[in-house]
Amino acid sequence: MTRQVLIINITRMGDLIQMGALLSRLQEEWPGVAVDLVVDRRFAPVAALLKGLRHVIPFDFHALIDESRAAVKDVISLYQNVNAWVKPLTECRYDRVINLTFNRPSALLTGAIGGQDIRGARSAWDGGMVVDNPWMAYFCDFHQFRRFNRFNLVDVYALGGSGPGSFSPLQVTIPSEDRVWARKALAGSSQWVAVQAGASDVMKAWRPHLFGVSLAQLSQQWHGGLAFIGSSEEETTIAEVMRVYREAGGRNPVKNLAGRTTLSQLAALLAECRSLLTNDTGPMHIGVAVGTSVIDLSVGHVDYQETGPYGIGHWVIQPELECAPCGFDMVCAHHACKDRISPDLVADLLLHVLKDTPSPSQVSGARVYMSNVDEDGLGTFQLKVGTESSLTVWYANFWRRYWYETHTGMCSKAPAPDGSLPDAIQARESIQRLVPLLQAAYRRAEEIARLASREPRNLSHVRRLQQEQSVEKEQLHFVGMNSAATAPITAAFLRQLQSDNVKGLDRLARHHVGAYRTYLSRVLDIERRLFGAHAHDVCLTSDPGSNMHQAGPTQRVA
Amino acid sequence: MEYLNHNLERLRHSYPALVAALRESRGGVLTMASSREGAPSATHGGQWIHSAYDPRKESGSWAEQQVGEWKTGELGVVLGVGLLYHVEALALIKPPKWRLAVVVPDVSVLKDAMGARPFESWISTIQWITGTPNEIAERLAAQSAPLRFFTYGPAARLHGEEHQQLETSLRRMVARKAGGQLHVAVVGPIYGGSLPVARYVVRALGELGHRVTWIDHSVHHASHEAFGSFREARYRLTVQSRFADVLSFSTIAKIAEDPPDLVLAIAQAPMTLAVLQHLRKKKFTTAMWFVENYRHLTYWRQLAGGYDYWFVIQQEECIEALKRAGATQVHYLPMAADPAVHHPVTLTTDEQQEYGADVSFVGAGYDNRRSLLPRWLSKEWTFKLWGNEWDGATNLSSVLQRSGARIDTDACVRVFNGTTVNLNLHSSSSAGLDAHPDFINPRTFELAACGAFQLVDERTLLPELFSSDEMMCFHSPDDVPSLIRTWLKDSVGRRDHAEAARRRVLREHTYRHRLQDLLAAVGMQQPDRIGSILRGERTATELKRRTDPATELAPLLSRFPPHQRVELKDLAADIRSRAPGRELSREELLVLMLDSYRAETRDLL
Repeated sequence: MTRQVLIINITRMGDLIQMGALLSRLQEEWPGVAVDLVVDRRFAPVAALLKGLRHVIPFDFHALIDESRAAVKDVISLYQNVNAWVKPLTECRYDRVINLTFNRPSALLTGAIGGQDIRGARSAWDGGMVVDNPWMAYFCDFHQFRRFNRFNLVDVYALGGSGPGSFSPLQVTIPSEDRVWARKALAGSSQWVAVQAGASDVMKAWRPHLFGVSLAQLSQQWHGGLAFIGSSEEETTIAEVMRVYREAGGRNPVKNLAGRTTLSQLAALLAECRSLLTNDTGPMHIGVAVGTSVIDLSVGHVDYQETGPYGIGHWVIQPELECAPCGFDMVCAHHACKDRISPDLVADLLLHVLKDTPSPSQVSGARVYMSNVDEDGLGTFQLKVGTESSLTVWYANFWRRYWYETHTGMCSKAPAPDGSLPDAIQARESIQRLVPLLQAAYRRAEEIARLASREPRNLSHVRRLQQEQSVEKEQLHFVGMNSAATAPITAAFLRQLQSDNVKGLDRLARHHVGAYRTYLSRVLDIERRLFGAHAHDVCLTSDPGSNMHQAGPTQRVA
Repeated sequence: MEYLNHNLERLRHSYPALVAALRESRGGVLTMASSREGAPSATHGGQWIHSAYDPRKESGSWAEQQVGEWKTGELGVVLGVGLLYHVEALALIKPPKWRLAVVVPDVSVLKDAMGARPFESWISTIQWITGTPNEIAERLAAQSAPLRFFTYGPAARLHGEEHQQLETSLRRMVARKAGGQLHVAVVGPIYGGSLPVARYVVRALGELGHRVTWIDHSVHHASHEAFGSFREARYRLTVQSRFADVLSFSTIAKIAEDPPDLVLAIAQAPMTLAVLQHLRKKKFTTAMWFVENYRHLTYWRQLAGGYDYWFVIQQEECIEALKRAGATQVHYLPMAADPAVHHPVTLTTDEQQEYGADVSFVGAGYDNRRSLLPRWLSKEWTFKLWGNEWDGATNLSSVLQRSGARIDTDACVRVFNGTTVNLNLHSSSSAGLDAHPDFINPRTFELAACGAFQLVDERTLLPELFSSDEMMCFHSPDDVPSLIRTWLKDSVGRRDHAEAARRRVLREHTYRHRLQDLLAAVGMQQPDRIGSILRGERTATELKRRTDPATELAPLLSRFPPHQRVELKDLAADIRSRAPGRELSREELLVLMLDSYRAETRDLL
């Protein structure tokens, strides 16, 4: 029988392209699987470019927001409309529902659709939000230890929605008529660089005048064409780039195609270009998917490790600044990170890509990375110019291996971190402080579970213990999040505690025991990994606290 | 004659009286002409009623445009008769059970149509509504279904006045029947004459039972003044303009926190065109009550297309000007009084001493007042002049009170009540009376609401608001002294006029009346939205009627008082309040999902 999978991916163009590896992986897992996609109506044309989908199921979520917020329609009409749309999805009885939109509305939508195997955010039985699947939980948590994350969303989607597998590049389908159109549109020069100077969020857009200066410098040594892409709303930005470009002496042939292409034409256009200079945007991922060499200017709250160009041979420039990348909800008053990227660096990198001149070797204020695929078949970025904190590099490698092995149950082929642990003394102190607290908390969780399963229940006693447990949890949070050696597993612990989609006090208590047990065994395991013999060479697949093996044997802690 | 009999035969059973009227009618209003395509077309006054090329095709396009707006259960009402091509097109593309009515202010036009071409069976499905505008309004108001108006402009133009009267009557009838509670966000100005109007509007809406969020920008007045202190005009205007932009965004933030059914701005409210366009894109309904003389303050030109509804205190020229500038819905809505503020007051002896006089004038020192008021001073009566902006008016300095300081509303009420003859001279920047004497200023209504006697300069729009028994007008500045002399002597006449005027205000000209009218006008344009809320169709009882009682939302709606308006957020809040420890049904999860989308605001600001 053909397996059926529903993917819910509503919010952004880039997210849709980034699930390309997941679509390939699902075919590997279940050959012939029928994959349907729920998407916002605005992005349905993007979905049409993807390979491996049976049905694209669009819904106008923006109209729903507008009409419900301004009470354009009454509650009956709103309910009936959405129910009529959701009902057939429920009746489809999907084998797996993968929710890649991590917000509360989509969690409730996923819960209402239901499915045998739900991955990602979903509603719990009481309307709360829980996250099923350890990779999806990781996605929700990594903003708490962002500098140590080394998983691209493309891989998180594929690992969470399916599982480990071979590397699969992003791909889109380009109709032949659009290829013809693109060749005609780019007549007049034999080589083109596409430029995406705008972005849906001004926070993640490099400054227009800096684009202009860079391109003008490029113009001195390279005489191909510049094709501006983007939406029609980015006309003002492009006009500013062009003004500065001309004033700075730029003389290359220029075409402004922003707002003048369909998505498939855009894909075809990018496929014809030598390179794409871009902010981190949806078109960047399309550029990657059509095999064009991308130079990604990763500014604002964008972290290239999460959303940077996936695969081999792309470039990323990341500002070097204490606050960069900033938080997702940050409203920044200075955008200083954008000034850290010099137009000279961008021009040099463009020349390297276009004319094979030497790559920039010295840079201040920014780092340059090249994308690649690592030994586990996952996307990665290699530092080419600039410096990184040794602590960040060490822990980032450590956690990259740890999570891969923990969540897949497979040994990582990626090399262990170089050298010794940079903050060994602090890390040891932190773990030594954490362990007794955690052991006490675990014992209390067991005591609560024992009391909760007993009839009649002594509720006042249970409540008193729960209050004490709550205080202990705060302490664990404080101590655990304070060290690079324990922050990621502390975040995972808190997530596991929250994902309590169980009914009844006794089950809830048992769920908490499981979370404390996993946390404790992970802390002890990290201690062994960091300070034991052959510390970080050890493959962790035997980790008894792995989320992948939560139902399996567990380490008993006295 | 052949077509006429054929068509009348189709109507004979359902509309015998109409058929009789058509037979008696002379017709001949429209001039028949053949279109290039061959079908009959018509002109009136040299202008084509239907296309000179292909009337069927043109009407088909018109009908296609209209039908998208039409919602299930609404009665479609066509304004404009012509040769009925457009009615036929609409009748043929509408779903079979949807009902369509045609307003017929003059059966002669319908007779022309009936004689021009043969009609098929669709004609017998139309509800023909004839009579005077008031009779038509009564018939339409008696309909149980919401009304959706479709105006076919070229034909409707023939009866523009009747349609205007129909709309006014219908608005009032609908307003009287309205019982539902709206949430209205009132956006006030930073300062100025429209600020008290905003306050009156807020109170009136509250008294009518609506929920009001007042976005009061007067709290920012001190900053605005501070920004006005730059010597260089360009700096001043730039900073103040940017400040208005900030306030405009703060309005959006306020709206995002508690989205209203209607955003009602009062003149001078700091709302930019960009913000208005954004609100429209986000489906918010916006209205502006422009309580200004459109000839003097012309910022409406920039904002005309931004608001969904304009309400103005002037008629034809103003309405046309706004429409030319891009406004789609413009309605006449004169000023009014708030009887809670402006009412009769008995003054103490000291107050009478301070505020009282034989003759008074309250207002700012506009040019015409500076030139005319000195002519009305006399030793025969005491005269007091109140208000600001009188600098340099040396010939009035002897009567100017409080050195020309601005006086508050409470003092105004005391002056009105303590004065025997209140002068009410509408402002003008010329030397004499206002050259365009149309709109009625707020003072007219406020004086009347105080039960105070006034002499007001003649206005073209005054007779439909006050009769000569209620309001005494002067035609020329030269008439004023003799009128003062006459009325100072006639205490009975003064009292009769003043009391009649006050009764008229209480009966027809309070802010409650105006806001009822305003909301009814918006409701008539949005029968499925504001109209439906005003008709009380979003109460728990009415909503329950529309849902399957066994499943879906009926059990959830049963938890609310029958007459309470229930929106998505209310239903979700109730579910959430009962959620802890309880397994939610699929219906409840879907409601929570919808509400989560509703609560999204990142796209707003």
